[in-house]
Formats: sequence, structure tokens, C-alpha cells
Amino acid sequence: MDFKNTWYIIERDKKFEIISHDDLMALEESTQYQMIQNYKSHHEAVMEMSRLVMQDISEVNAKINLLKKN
Amino acid sequence: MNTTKGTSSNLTGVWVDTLTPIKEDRHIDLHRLESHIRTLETKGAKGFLLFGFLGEGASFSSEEKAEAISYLIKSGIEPSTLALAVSCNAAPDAARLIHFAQSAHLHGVTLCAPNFYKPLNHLGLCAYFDHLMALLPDGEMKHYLHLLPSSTHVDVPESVLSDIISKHGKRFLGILNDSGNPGITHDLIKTFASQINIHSFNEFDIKTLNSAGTFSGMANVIPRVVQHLLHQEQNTQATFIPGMKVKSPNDRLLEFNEVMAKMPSIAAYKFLLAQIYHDTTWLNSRPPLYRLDQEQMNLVSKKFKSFDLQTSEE
Repeated sequence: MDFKNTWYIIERDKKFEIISHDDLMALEESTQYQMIQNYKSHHEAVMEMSRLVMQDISEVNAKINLLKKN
Repeated sequence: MNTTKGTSSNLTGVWVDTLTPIKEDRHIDLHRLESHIRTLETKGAKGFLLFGFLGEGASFSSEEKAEAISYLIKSGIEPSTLALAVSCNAAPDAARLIHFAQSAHLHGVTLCAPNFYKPLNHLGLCAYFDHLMALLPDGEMKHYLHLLPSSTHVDVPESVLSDIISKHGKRFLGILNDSGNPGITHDLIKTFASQINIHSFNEFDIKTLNSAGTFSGMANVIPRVVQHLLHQEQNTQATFIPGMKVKSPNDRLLEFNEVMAKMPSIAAYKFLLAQIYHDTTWLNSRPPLYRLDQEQMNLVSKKFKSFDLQTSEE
């Protein structure tokens, strides 16, 4: 499969990022990141990124609500 | 593959017994399936067995399987990196799926024994494969005989395997032991290695087979550990601390096996993928299979944290 024009979601410093294949390949070897998934288009990566961010927001909201209750 | 015929010229690298993501409406989530395959390929997987045991193959119709494969190919997945598990009871249904796989130029198909009637005698099993082969046109399609007694509840005896190889050996590229029993792999090597390639789904058989290629379910979650073992590389852990024992790929497989111990395998693998992808959709299975219960999830989650998956392993 040709990954040249594909996009990745990675987690770096506890934050999700969208990064192109070329940029991922150009990262220095010492860069610490976790590759989450590969997508064939930027649009798909953005959609997934939105889902991940919304999920994080929901989790934080749940924690805040729990704190408020206590 | 030194212990088997032909040094595994047909199968190289790690072929993932691919999990099938399911949407809330119980249909195959094609988008997530494609992304899972792409992601595993970026991590070094060479091929993907679709709708095998871990792929819940028995739960999907032939039309659903064909639709999923067509979608993947349209999305840019190379057909030669895909294999289709055929597990139909009716020979004409199996033949139709094999025709489809052939026309889609897939790498090959795996064939299970039919599993509805029990017990099946030797003559009946031989006749089933004769019938199925008679329904197929001559062609380049590669067939693997898939031994899956834990699911089909049918043991294919050596006499039947001998009969199939002697009559249809040209069409079969290998026997796949998916029994989980390394003893069967040893027996298959002893009896058939000079005639046909022997493969196993049990990652612990990789060393025994000394193979150039393997099928693996664990590779859904820890593809690089399986690759390291296949290529006989020593270290899988990226972090080296002076004095710390560096674990071999085999040590890591044993530890991973402990994470999965006593859990329903499909649900447990899906739970782990849901963790890795941060996506609870991966928890879904098509009924009658179901997700882990809360107690099981807590236990697997705790064990998986202790397993401490490294970026270099996933």
C-alpha cells in the first residue's frame, strides 16, 4: 500500500495530533509519540480527531461533575 | 520455512487474523476495518486474513464478506495482501465465495471442514472436499486447509488430510493449525512437511516452524512483537535501563498470553483495541458474541497496564 499521501493521528505529550506521512517520516528518531491510526484522507483523520477530542471533553466533564457532587 | 515444504514461498511476514469492527446497528464497520488494516500495515503487517475465527467469520453472510472486501480494495488496500476465510457448511456457498476471492485477486482462501453434522466419518469428509474442488474452476487461487477443531468441533484426521493432499495437493498451499495445540503442529510437520507447507495460528509455534510467514491473532494488538519473534530479533522493548532484564519477544508473548488468560478471546482482543484506539465502538461484536462484562474488563485492563505495552511493540 502506498502511504505517501496518507495521514496519521498520533499522541504526543498527551495530546492528539494529525500529521502527514511525510512529516511523520521526518520526525527525529528520538521523538516520543504513539501512533494511533492511519487514514487515507485528511478529512477522515480530522473526523476521528474530532471524535477523540469530544470524547476527552466528555470524560473531563464527567470528572468535574463528580467533583461538584462531592 | 525450514521444516516445511518450499520454505514458505507463498507466505511471508505476519498475516493478521483480523478482528472485525461492528457498528451499533450490528453491521460491519467498513471504515474502521479499513483504518485498522492500514494502521497494522504501517506497523509492518504483511497481510490480513479476513473473517477467520477472530474475525467472527461465522457471523457474516457471504454477501457481507464480499461487500467488505470490495470496499477495502476500492479504498486502496492491495488485494494480494488479503486472504478470505471460507467457513460455509454448504459446498456451493463455499465455492461461490472462493470464486469471488479468485475474481478479486486475493492472496488466497482458507477452508474449514463443515461443522453442522457430527460425527463425520473419513469418507464423508473426503467426499466433501472432492465435491467442493469439483465446483471450482482450475486457476491460480491458493487454498489453505484450516484446522479449527475448537470451533468446528470436527477433527480432520490425518487419513483425510492425506487423501486431500494426494488428490488436490496442487491446489493446496498449506495446512493451518488453528487448534491452539502445539502437539498437532509437531504431528503435522512429522507427517506432511515433505508434501505441503505447515502453518500455525499459535504464535508459540513460530520458533518450531522457523517460518518466513505466520498467521497471528496477537498481531492485532502487538504486531511488532510477533514480527520480532518471526524475524528472530532479540529485543522488543525500546526502553533500556542499566541492570534491567531485557525481555525477549517470547517472554513478551508469554506475558501477553497471561493478559488474555481465561478470557473469551474475541471480546478480550476487541477490548484491548478499544483501549489502544480510544474507541469504544471496538467493544461491539455481532450476537451471539458479546463484549466482556465489567468485571472481566477491569481484570484485563489491570493486566494490560502491568504488561506495559511499549510503542516499539504495538
